[in-house]
Amino acid sequence: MITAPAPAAPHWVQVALSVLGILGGGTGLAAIATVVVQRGKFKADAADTLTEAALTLVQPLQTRITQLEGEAFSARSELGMLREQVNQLQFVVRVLTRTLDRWRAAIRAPDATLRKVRATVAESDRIPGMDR
Amino acid sequence: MGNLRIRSRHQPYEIAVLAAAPLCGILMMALDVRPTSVQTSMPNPIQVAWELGLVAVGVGGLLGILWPGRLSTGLGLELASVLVLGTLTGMYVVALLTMSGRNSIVATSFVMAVTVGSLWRAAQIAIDLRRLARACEFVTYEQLQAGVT
Repeated sequence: MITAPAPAAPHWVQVALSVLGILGGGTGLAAIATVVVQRGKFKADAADTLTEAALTLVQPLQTRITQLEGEAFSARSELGMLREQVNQLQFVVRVLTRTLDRWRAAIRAPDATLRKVRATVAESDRIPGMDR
Repeated sequence: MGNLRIRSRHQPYEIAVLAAAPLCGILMMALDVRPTSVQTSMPNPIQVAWELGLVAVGVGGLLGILWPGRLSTGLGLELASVLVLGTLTGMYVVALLTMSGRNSIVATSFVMAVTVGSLWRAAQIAIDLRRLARACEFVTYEQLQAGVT
């Protein structure tokens, strides 16, 4: 039961509290109104914005990822370079083996003469790919 | 431009107080009781508004914190709620002080702490909203989605 208050507080307290209440309520309504009116300014949805806690967790991970991506890129390009070098070397080895076989055959031939061997060697000098 | 940082909205003290406010208001309405200090120091319409305000503040504030849509709307609701909560508890502090003076030191201290905390939180939200508005000017939607600004 709300009983009638025996000693009423001073009049100015009542007035002050009324003013305070009206002011506070007005401020609250004004705050809502401001945010509603300026809605266009805010494009972010709640789900799209990370809270501070989440950001502090994500940020180091993101820098680490960027770093690792850079390292992976350089490793991959280095691998490509090395693979190309290996290809070139394989080619050179094949050419040299063939040349060696030809010379050996020329030397071991039953009718081998110094002049014939010289001719074979001079011929292989002109083979493309040997000047690598 | 640095990161967009919005303070976490799940603050235990704030939520506890916002949950207690409507409980208190509904109980007062259901049981038809009011604190003597409020009865003596407020005119009747203000008393009713005060009671209804407690309920509205709690419901609005919790709604704002759990708001699933735009962050700005949620923050706005929360801002309005904590502003009004600060006012309501401030009124109660004045009522308590005029009613019982220095005998109510403990009660007034705690209620005043709620007032200060509410206004503090309101200032925080205002700052966050300003930051959010500024970030939305500079940043495209895709960047915000990625969480990197």
